[in-house]
Amino acid sequence: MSESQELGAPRPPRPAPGARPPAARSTASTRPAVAAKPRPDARPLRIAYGMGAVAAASALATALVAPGSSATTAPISQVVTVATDATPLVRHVTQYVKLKPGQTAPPQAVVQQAPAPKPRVVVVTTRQSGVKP
Amino acid sequence: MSAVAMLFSDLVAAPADGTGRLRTVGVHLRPVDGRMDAVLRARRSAWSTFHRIEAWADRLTRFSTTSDLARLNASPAERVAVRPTLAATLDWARQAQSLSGGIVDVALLDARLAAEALGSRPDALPVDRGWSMDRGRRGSHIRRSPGLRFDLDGVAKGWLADRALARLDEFPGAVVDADGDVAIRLGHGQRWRFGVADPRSCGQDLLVLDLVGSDRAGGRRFGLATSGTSIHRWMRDGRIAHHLIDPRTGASARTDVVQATVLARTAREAEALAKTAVILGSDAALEVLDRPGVDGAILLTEAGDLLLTPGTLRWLA
Repeated sequence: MSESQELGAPRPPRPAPGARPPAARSTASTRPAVAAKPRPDARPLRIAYGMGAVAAASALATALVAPGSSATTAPISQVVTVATDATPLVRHVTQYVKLKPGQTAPPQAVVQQAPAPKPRVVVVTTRQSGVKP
Repeated sequence: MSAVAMLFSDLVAAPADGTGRLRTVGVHLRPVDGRMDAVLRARRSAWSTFHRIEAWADRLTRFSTTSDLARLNASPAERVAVRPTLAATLDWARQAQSLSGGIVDVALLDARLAAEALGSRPDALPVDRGWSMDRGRRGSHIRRSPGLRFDLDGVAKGWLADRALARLDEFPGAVVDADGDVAIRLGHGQRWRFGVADPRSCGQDLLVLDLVGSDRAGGRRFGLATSGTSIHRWMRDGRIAHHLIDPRTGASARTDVVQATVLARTAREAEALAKTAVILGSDAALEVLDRPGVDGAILLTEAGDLLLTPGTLRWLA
């Protein structure tokens, strides 16, 4: 048994078969052996990373499987302030959604018909031939 | 200014050069949407259609010696080859004659010229006004008595308006005004107003029609046309003549109707029936106009009365 084995120092790795021997280091034999410092525990950080990944996956899944709304147009809010007998003001917020052609209103939604288009001015006048319009 | 308003300001007018070409033609289009490229496409189509109408009119006028109609009238032959545009118009003239019970007759040019010269007389009526047309693979041929001459006049204008409107299918709304004979197509939700000119006061309307479109494919089609005796009218030595010749007499029609306007499915039908109403007079006209396909009719009589068929009321603005 050699001296280094008696001190408990780790063995140097064996060279691979056919590998060239490492170059001789002049200081290797002179540096004193130092005991390895204990490494910090990685588990708390791993747990934190894991929880973050779970949260991100949850948000992604929620976005993917959320039901589509029947009207994609941005709602138009109208705030009506009503003064009541009991003084604090009550704020009623009514949201209007302008339906596009083919869209249907959600159930229980109050549907208001758009006003009929205003007639245009006279486009053309029918007349006997030869009369300037 | 909105895109639509920009187009409506494009009332395209042909030169009033007295050559007999259509003096006023209007093409009105509603673009697919308000984007500039759609507006420009509509503008290009309006101008293209306008020029196409001019080209057709140049073939059908009797006032040019080089038109297809003038060549037909000048030919001494009994059987004359005609090109497709003239053949199609004469084909419609034949149908209009049937639709009107023989009142619309395009073989009355000599009688009309006699009326213009205030020489209206029955002997201006050709003895044999019969004619026929063969349409085959090798072209179309008119067979008629040598010397029989044709005057397409309003028959051609109504046909032109409908033919031009057919070129504008890509637009949701379109109006083609061929000198007062109007072909109309209105899409869903469109309401356009059309005036009926008052012949007694320039620039005034007798009334206004409020036409509504349809949501069915292709929109709703209308034809609106006016005929009357107050514009092409001549007087000399107390004698009065006008351009609407009664084929039963060969002279200017003796009628109590100054002007008739008809709303029908096509401009050519409206034109034929409006002319028929004037020539027949108010009593017979109201019976003739009570038929399927006529959506409304407005008659102005010499007494100043305005007679409307019941179906007209729903369109009044």
